[in-house]
Amino acid sequence: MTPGFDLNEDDQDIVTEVINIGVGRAAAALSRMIGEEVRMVAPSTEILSRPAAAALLGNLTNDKIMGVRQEFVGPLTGVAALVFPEKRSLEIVRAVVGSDYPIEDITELEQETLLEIGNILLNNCLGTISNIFQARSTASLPVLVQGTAEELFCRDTEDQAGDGMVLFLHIGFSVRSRDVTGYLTFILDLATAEKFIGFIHAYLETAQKGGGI
Amino acid sequence: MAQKTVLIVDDSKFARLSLSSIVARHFPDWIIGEAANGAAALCALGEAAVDFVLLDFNMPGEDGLTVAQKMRELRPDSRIALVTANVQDAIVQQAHALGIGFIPKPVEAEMLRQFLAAP
Repeated sequence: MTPGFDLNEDDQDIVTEVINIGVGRAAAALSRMIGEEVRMVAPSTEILSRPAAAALLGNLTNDKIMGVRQEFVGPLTGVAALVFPEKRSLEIVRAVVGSDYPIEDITELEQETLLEIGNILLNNCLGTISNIFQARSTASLPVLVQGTAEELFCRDTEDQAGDGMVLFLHIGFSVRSRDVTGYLTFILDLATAEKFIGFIHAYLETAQKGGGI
Repeated sequence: MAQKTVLIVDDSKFARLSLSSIVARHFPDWIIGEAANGAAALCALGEAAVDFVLLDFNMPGEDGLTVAQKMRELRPDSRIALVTANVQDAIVQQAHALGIGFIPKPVEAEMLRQFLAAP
């Protein structure tokens, strides 16, 4: 662990609250796209090694994954991803494009639709979090990831000490009528996590003065 | 303005602190109570009425809308607002159907002040 990095109970509480607000906006966007309520599970925050984070996500999805990954620079600097179990990802696409669309056309559309869903959800979430901190985020173009959770987190990260510890945030959400559970995940290496905690502390100070946002 | 009472119900300590700081800043004389979940909030309301309840939606145990329904039966005169990050249209509509307010997180201090200042 990076010397000086600390995530005490109060920090964790604020991180959870901020992530909840971001994910709440993303869920509202998804809910509008599919015309159905989206259920959210409380977010989890853990400090883990990259492989352990991948193993955790692998256990949650219990399958190979299909997802959209984007790199962000801002209050949250790192990798954000929207992830579904591979076998269920088509269901979410179907929920968005509508049931009366011919199945062969949907398969063709699947990747582009997933990319767009990921782009909208991840930007809603990260954009809202940036607004809370009155800061700005920039995002790379969304990239489709298909395979194992290890591939999602460990690919292209050799230059960032691939086996180092990371701050791993994840939150599950489900669409009942489609029986799909997806995950929004964020992975921050500890140096950028410290920067995020700096934003958290400043936000706490504002809140203590009764300033709201 | 007369001294009033506000019950803040949220599982996040930070959210409770943030809301109570806004209330204290605008209404320094008011009495602020806190509860970390719906069960504790209903227990507090059973003992004493309050003027306002600020109620989170996603909490361990029962969700805010279920809790609000029970509060309505227990204390029909308390004015309730759902204060939540869950800003889906379905949740907003359910809050309106129940006749309670809706304040999205992150909370704008002015929006909360208006809810508490309304006659």
